[in-house]
Amino acid sequence: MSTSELMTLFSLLSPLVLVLGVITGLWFYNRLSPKYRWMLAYLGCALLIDILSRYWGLISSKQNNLVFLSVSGLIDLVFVAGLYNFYYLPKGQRWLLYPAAAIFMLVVCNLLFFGNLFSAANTFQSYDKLICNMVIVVYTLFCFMELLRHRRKEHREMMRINSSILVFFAVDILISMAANFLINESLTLVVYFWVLRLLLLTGMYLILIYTIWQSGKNPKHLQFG
Amino acid sequence: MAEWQKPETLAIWLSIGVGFVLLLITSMIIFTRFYIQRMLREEQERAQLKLDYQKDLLNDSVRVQERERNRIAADLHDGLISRLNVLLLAMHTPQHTEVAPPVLLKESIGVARRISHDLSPPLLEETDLAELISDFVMPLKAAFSVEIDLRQEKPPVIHSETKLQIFRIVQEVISNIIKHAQAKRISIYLRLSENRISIRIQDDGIGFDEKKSSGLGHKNIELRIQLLKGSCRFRSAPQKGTSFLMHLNNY
Repeated sequence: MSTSELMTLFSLLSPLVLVLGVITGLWFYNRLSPKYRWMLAYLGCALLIDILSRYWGLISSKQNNLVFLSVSGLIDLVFVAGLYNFYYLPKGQRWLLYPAAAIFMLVVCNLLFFGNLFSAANTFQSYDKLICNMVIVVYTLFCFMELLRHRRKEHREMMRINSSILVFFAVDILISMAANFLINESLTLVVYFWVLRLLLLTGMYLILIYTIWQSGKNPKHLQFG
Repeated sequence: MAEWQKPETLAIWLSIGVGFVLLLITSMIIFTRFYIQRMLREEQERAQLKLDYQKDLLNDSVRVQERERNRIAADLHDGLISRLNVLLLAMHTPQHTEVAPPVLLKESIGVARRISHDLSPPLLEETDLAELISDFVMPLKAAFSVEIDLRQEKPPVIHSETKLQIFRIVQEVISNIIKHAQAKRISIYLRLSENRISIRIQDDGIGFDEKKSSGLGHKNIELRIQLLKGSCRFRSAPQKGTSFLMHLNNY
């Protein structure tokens, strides 16, 4: 089995975990508060993007699905902005929503009007994803500040989710910066970076699933983290 | 191709970057986790201290109750019962008594009334706080130079229970002055407004060491202040008199 085939097989880990997450969320759906339903919606969107990107990769004449990297960046941004602004950060920090919305509009405009949506792999740059990741990392830093400044009842949950989001998106910033290199270089050289990214992403999904499961299993308990 | 442009070099630098970021973030997460744990531990310790303090106060309240019972028992025994015994004796042997039974009876009624007033101030609902305190310190004017300075915008409506607790605090402070301070002058300042009560009681007595004071009287005052959700403090030093200050907001 070649590295490429092995990697393709290994990449199925992420959609499998997402399917597990969506099933878990739907199973407990009636017991979930809006916060956990928001997490479930994110997992659902991520699964949809994953399936669409694989399908697009098969049928596209360019033989690449890189546009979905930018789209997933936008979905990540919307998820994190919603989660942090409405559930984790205090009302006094709602102003963060404005720069996040501005970045969102900027990236959408860039995708629609300035960037070539379906560019060839050798000229692809994922600066829009990079910017989205940076905004997400800023959110996580604000969340850490909130955790250090105030005693929060749900501090365990916040700590868990915030850490997983920070780890994944901080590493993803570096990977987005080197996206062109990582896409076009020999897979045997860059496979470790993609594996690391996949593991961190799967870890983040698993933590979200665990949180949803905890909430569904014991809704009263999760109300306090 | 320059050395730095080689894919292997780029991959190495990227690995270093990713490793550094992961290290930085891991340290940050560990630091935050330790900080939160410490915060929780301190909070727990504070809660435990508060619980211990509450337990102490509860113990003290029981002791205060017992002391009050003893005092009342002593008042009844030494004041009322002894007078009633003399009255009984006087009624059986009227020819040998120096004081006539009606006089003894009148004295006994007086003592009973004093004990009764001491247990519960008369007309508590109708009497305002300033009057209650004035009535209490009136008899002291023979032995002390008592000065009362009252300032109130209009007589505030104070719930009877609150009024009684404040009155008991004032009673305790003044009793302590009488018993221990060897004072000649007592000043009472009252500031009453719709949402704040401030009382200051000063004397020119021998004072006490604030650090060593933990008598039952003080505990009793603390207990009542806590019940009222107010605040109080004593300021004193040996030979420099004592000043007691209490505040009660939104009573």
